[in-house]
Amino acid sequence: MSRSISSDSLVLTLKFLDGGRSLAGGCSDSKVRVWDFNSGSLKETVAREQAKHPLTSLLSRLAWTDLGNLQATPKMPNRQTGENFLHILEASGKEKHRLTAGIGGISIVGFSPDGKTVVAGSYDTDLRFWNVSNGELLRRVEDLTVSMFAMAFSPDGKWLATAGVDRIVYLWDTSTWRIAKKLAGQPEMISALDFSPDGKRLVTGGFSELTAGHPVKILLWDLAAGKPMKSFDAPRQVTSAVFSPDGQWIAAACRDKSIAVHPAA
Amino acid sequence: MQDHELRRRDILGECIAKGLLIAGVPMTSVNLFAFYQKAEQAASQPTPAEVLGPFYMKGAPNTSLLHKPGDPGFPLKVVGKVLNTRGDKIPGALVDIWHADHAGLYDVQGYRYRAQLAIGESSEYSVETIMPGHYPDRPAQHIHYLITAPGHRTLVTQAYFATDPYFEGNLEKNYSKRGIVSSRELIRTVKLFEQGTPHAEIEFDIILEKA
Repeated sequence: MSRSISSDSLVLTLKFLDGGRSLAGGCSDSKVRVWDFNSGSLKETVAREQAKHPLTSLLSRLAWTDLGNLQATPKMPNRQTGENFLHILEASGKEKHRLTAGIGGISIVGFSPDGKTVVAGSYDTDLRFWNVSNGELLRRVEDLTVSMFAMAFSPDGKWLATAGVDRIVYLWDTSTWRIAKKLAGQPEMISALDFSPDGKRLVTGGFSELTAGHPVKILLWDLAAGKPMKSFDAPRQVTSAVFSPDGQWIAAACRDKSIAVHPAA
Repeated sequence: MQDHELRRRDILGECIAKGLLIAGVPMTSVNLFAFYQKAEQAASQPTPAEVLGPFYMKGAPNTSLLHKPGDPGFPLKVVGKVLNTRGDKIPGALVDIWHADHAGLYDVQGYRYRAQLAIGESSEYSVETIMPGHYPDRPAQHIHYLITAPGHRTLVTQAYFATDPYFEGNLEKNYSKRGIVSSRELIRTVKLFEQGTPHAEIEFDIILEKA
């Protein structure tokens, strides 16, 4: 049964905790809220000032890998040149690599599940893949014509999904970093996506070209079939969408401050 | 040509420093050199940069006609040149230009109101389009630019319109309202032409720095 969890502030990032018993959201008022997933009641609020609290990472666009204890931090583009830089930092804050990453701002960033590769997409529409250990650029993809707004690796690391302005989900084979499959069907731009824990499904959330305030769809995809299995309405742009650890639910944060919860089977 | 210009400037600077070039009114060489440097800087600032935005699309056609017949919106002509900081023409530049439609929406499925202009020897460009509209998240009318040229730094910028109601008739006071426009210099006078097909026109020269 679908339901909704309400938040006092716009939720920008979601993450399940405690094996799925809790749901945390990084909010636009610089607080992380933690809800009991079953009841929807608010359990805890963590302020940005509690910098040592691990949940405050949900308040930034940092990408983390626990394997190398590293974080990838996109910096604001250089004001005059527009150049992007992605900083790879060690847990101590020491800079490991400063990677040049196109122009115009970084729209997506993430580590592969094995922590060996970091990927960033830029508003100049290029994707770049680097070797985390030595900072070597493994591949620069210039084939995309539009910006990507969302990305996720499959749990086994074999696939990377990216999606954005052109409404298409691109599935990348991570052994070659080339496009293996394209999924079309989302009626709007795509601003959120996630793989199911078994890697067989995908959830995507839309972002209307009209404005962030227009209704959109949340789609549940069967990857083997390459088609949507289910479609749910969302009142406004979907800012984040995640599967529960048991793969039974999807949670999608919307611009109206709600978190939609839908069955994923 | 550029090397010649560089030598000329360097020689000029050296002449001032050595007292070989003096002003018509009494000036110390230090003041004269400072005056010269100031004039150089004023004449050669590159076009200020602006954000790229999320709706840039690669692969736009090389066309000077950005709109289709019958498109709603007031006709607009945009003209300009691509120059270096010394005012020399830069042939061979690629100018990506894109903007929203009359209602403030970008075409993200196709290339309406988008072009990538291959600039020839004249270093001039001219496009016919319509006045872009306003949209809620970024309410000032604007045209995006991404310019690349051999030997020069890539520039991402935007052109704005002095007639935009967003500025409430007071550019100096309101241009930086909400941090939307980064530089007053990017706001251009709009000329109106009534004869023939009525249309508006702005001039937007692009000045690039050497790489």
